[in-house]
Amino acid sequence: MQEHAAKPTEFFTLNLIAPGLEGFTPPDPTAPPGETWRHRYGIYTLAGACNRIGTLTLVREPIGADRFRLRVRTEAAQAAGARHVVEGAYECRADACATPESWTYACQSFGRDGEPIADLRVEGAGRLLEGAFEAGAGPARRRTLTSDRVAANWALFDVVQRLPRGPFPPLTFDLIDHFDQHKPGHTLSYAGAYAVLLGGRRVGRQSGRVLERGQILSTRWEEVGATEARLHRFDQHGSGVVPWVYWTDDGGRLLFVVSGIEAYIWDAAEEGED
Amino acid sequence: MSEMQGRGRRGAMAATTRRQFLGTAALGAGAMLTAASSHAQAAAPKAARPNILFILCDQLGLDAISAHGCPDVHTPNIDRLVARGMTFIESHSTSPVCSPARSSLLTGRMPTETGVITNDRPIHDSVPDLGQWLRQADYDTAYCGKWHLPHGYPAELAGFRVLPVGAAQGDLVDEVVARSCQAYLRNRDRSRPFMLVASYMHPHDICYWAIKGRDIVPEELAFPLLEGRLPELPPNHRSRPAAPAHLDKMAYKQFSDAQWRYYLYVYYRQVEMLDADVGRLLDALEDSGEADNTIVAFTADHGDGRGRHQHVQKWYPYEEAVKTPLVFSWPGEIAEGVRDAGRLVSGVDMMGTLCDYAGVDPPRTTVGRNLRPILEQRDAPWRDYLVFDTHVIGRTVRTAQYKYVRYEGDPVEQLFDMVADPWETVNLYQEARYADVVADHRKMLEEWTERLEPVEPTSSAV
Repeated sequence: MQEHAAKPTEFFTLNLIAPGLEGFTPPDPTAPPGETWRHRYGIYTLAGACNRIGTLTLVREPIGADRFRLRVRTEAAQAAGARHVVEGAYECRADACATPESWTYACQSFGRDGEPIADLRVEGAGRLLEGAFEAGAGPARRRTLTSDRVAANWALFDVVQRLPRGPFPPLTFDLIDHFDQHKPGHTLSYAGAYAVLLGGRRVGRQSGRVLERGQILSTRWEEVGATEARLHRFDQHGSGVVPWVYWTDDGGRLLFVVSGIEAYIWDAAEEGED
Repeated sequence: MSEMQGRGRRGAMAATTRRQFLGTAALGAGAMLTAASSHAQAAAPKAARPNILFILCDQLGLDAISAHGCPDVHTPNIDRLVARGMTFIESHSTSPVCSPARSSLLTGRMPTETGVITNDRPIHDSVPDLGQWLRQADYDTAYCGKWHLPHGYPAELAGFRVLPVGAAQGDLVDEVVARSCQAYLRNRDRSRPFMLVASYMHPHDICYWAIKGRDIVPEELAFPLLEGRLPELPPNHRSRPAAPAHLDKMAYKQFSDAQWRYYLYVYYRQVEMLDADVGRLLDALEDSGEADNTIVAFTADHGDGRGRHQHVQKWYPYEEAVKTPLVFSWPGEIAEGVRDAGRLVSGVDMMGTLCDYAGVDPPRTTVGRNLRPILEQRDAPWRDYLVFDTHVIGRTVRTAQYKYVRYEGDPVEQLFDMVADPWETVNLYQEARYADVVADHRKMLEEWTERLEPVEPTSSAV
């Protein structure tokens, strides 16, 4: 870790979401997420600056000692006032990859009037088999061969919170992306600890010099009100995804996720609400 | 977490016909776990007018898929489409820019004839699009995804029902496109044939890697485990053949070799993301039981620089920007597993081809050719040369052996021997022994230009 904390703009991927981190209040790093949690993240597109387009909600609920349910809901604004909502749930093993055993999902478009569009709904389900998974929408399911180790994209938001926050042998697995897409050959690894100044605001301080024919004003910009946080970076890459970078705090809570120009920022204000 | 439960389910049931419901119920719970290739519904008998599924991608180069020999990408779904249909290797955009190319794909006319000479412009009011044309022929026409004529994601279109999507880039859009099209294919009213355009955004996102430059492609490889696993640079990466000054300025100078290789790595992952969403659509079509009655047309508006000639994005007449995949599939009707590497084809040929299959005469002004005889492996005379626009700055003539480019307001012309120099590294236009070739191509260009019926360029609305 570097000697002095630095602004998000100094770190790859945090630099891309820096405009979305202005005023960000990090949660208490001494209160780790534990076994049961509900997290909300803003969904951002980074094509321009850093624009929020929706919300991801994840709810983790233990099922006995060695399994858990992960409920997922994404809601994203579409053009002209429409929305698209995906709701799903995985039953996962509480192992290193949060191996998904079975899952269901439903996708629904909503019109400008806020009502669901009747024929724009699709439901599906899947389950893990020995060396394969079955998934699909509708009565026909497809069986896809996988490696021995499998992880689901949304369940990785849980996995990184339980990984050692220090070097470990990279995890390798096949990815089941968005409930039904098989993307083989993934690696998740630790990429270091960084001291980052979070939540600061950029404030301009103006000074002037009065001259005979007017005055000259100059503005000096500085960060104020920032909190120093120790963040841990985890990298995921493999087929069919632009590399994902996960940032947890020192207690393990996942705060930021960035994949190219798609990002998720922990939404402190909404935690605990449903 | 439960806004959708109940409301959407009732809606979906309401949209399910009695025939569909009985068909599904008869399969019972056991059918829920049928394996790989089983279909939800028995294949319907061939219809006189087939359905049309038109998959349009953004910035996908011809050789950016594994079926076309790219070693750096794995595209099993696009490959299966190629395997079950005919793929054209000499396939060209009508203009390597989003809106103009899209206007040609949807009208069968060149960009100067649609009024869409550059981005963010609408198609001229006098020019009907494919949706308007086939809707008149009682097709159920639907559009989902990027439009860009002029707006990216309009709420309404004259010729199509719009399946709502938009407001972001890449996977955030394409997943919704795939899901909405899946739902449409499953739930639609089957009393009429459909034409569905699924217009994906990927791999257009790569534009932002060029725009954001070192912020998103750091000088030092950000992912050490990718060391040794990045694509090689293309053989013409450093080639800068003689070109007009403005084209010289388009060389992208921000990246080192290592950064270029990471840029390529990202591009190919975006192609794989596209491929996964194409797979969802092909699966949904199979599950609908209508695959045997459906023509699938697959193409892109233009390609991407991918470091060739040190280029990113598009805008120029080189192969990386102009060549696009063009694949047609219709089981039992269109030849399967055939690769046509000889005929010069273009996005302008889409309209006439789909109209023929729909049993409709194309608009009188369509300049594109009808590919149907070729797709069904019947003898048909074909064009000797093809012309495409080089955005608003020039026009390019392509013959079997040569590519000739003339630019507006610039004395530099270009001539490449595409057989001897497929990577376009040597501009031959000033070599005396090619004077006749240049003259012949100039004449072709004049002939072509005279045949066009240009309209007033439409106004930018963005």
